[in-house]
Amino acid sequence: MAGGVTAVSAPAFYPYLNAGQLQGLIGGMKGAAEYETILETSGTASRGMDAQSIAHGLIIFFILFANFFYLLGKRRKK
Amino acid sequence: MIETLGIWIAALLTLCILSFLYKDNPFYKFAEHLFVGVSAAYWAVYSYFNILLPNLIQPLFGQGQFLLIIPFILGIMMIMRLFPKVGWMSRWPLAFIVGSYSGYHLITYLQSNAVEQVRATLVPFIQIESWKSLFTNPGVMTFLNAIAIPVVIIGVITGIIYFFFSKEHKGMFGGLARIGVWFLMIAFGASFGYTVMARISLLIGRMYFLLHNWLHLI
Repeated sequence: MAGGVTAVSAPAFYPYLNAGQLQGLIGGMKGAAEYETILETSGTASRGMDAQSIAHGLIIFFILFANFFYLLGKRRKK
Repeated sequence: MIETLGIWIAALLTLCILSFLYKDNPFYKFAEHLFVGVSAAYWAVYSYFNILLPNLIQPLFGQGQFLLIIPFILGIMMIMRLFPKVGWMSRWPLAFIVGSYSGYHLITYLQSNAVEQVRATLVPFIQIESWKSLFTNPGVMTFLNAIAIPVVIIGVITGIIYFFFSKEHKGMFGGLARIGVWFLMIAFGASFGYTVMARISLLIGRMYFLLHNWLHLI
């Protein structure tokens, strides 16, 4: 048995994949893009991964940016 | 024509929902209430035609399977919840559902979530083949493959130690529990990362709909 689930549900299903209860798992847009790559087709998931990657990069940047100034402010208070 | 109208309604409702980014407003409220109403109506119709009709109404009244009178009565008792004076009647079907669900899922859950998961961790600590491929073909993937099983086993043991409260978390035991906390935090972090990814995917989907299906810009 294999499955395709939304990214929210994917972490709950990975233990079944690792235990061999699931033969394959498509987790969210990333999984869909991987599946499209296997099929050698370029669909909406592969195209969406560009936007997804940029959004993830931005989120990581904001996390680092906010933490940097948080730690800077903390050091100045001391 | 109908399809175009549908796209326009969907696009305007999407904009109504996105307007919440500015602040709460009547357009957002309208779209939100419409969504709840349409969802409830959809599931009511879906449940009737896909569950009630083929599994209860047709067999009971069309094919004379009179044993189904029991779930029919239990179903009516469940609806009694809407009437405060006889609301207590809904407890009986609810108790039946909880009891039968627990009994039915006890075996399947035990098998899939306990026995199979335990079996998946009962593997040799060192996978000879994985280490062989690491030394013959060094790389990130072969390294990750080689350490996968030890990481799983250490994570399981330290995670269990963290949830063992009969002994104080001090000394070596406390240190192992702390490693367990790290494993839990990494797991929660990965889970949260997937949730973020899902939300971003939804946003990309809506933007693609607005720019491609509605405005034909991309």
